[in-house]
Amino acid sequence: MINRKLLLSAVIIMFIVSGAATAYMYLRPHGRTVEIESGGRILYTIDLDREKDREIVIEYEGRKNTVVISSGDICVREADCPDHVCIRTGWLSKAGGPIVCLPNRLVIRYKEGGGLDAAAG
Amino acid sequence: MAISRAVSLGTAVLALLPMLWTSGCSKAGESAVSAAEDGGPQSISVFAMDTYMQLTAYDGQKSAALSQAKDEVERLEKLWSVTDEGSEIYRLDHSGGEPAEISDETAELIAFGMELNELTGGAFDISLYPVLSEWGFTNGDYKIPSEERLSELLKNVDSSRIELSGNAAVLPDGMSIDLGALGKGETGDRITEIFRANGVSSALLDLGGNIQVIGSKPDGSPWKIGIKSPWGEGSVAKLEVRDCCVITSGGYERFFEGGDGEIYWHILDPKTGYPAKNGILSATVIGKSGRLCDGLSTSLFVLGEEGAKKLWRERGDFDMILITEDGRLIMTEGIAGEVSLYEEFSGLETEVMSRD
Repeated sequence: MINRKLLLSAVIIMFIVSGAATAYMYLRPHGRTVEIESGGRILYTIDLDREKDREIVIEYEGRKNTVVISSGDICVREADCPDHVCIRTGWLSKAGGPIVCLPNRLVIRYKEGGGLDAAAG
Repeated sequence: MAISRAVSLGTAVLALLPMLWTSGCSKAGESAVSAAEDGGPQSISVFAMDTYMQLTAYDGQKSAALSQAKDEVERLEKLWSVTDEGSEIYRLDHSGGEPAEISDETAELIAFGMELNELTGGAFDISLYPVLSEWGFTNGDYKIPSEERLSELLKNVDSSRIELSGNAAVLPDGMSIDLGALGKGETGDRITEIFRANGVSSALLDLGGNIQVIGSKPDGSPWKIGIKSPWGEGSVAKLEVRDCCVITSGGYERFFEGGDGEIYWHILDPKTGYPAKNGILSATVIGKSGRLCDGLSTSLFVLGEEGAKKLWRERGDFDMILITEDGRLIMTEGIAGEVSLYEEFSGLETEVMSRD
């Protein structure tokens, strides 16, 4: 009988744990996943809510962009392209468009859009 | 005992079920992705016409629509590129004042550019290309040209002097044109036609920040389009639209800081050859025709607030949103009800223009 009680409590604990896991999977924040595409290929898929602060150097035909992830935000910090539009775009924003470096064929965008479908400008 | 063990085992299996559901979640996610290939949206992205384009179709013959659209973008780019030696525009720009044969679509777009030049009293001019190039806005090699050089180049800026008859065009010797300020809008219109012909009734076209939408979102709600902030990241306002084009021109898109500490942006006034600084930071045009919205957004930026308001009163075929240097957001009555400001920008003074 003691054995049975033990088993039952084990079963209840398993219910609670797996229930919590299910709830977490459903309820955790979504849509903070970004894709870094270079030359038409997706090089990185990054969940900004989990990623550690770091720098990623991306090379395209010998030219480089330095991508920075800091406290859950992402931007291009350095680039050897002529116009630096990618740097000026600043941090990737849900309410803005993707970060694009045309000369180096680099795109950083949210995998799923936020509240907006697109941004004009 | 045997029975109770069986009961316990059964309960244990039941307890494990939620875990199975949990792992089943990612399975469901995967199948949603593959289902997306048949039932859900399909997108492609293309680097063309000096921008990054993303096209997404939500219904109809999506694969066919997207691949035809991509072919069309590439065909038009070959036709209108200023740098590709095989393009019609390159041939025309190097024709030395001699007549050149051009295709119907090129002739039509040049004619449209000339119409817009007349309509805006010269604020829009497809023959401004050599000046834009002198500033380095075409290749990122920025510099402030001397006044002598600018006035020299401006002598050849006047698209009303282009002679167009049927498929023959004559550019005065020394003039170069570029359809860049219309090309993306026109391309969006053509993609819209291709999509509709393939039964697509819900689609989002983002041609480097030129937004054109077909129908509404698959759930019937309007598309939510941001108007990018001219001051930095994010958007100033959200716009809810169906079946239309939302095209913005702003100085913030491409600019450089001169040695004198001044900001010089890429939208030039064809009259002076200098960046147009007429009090507007961004001009958004909302309407049915992509090429009209594309050309007008540049024109309104150059015209400034008063000129833009006057043009809007004269025409009935577009709505606009102007963001001014002194922190005002001016919108026309046809769109005002669909605009909501983001909280960070709630300090902007809003003004709604009505026709009377």
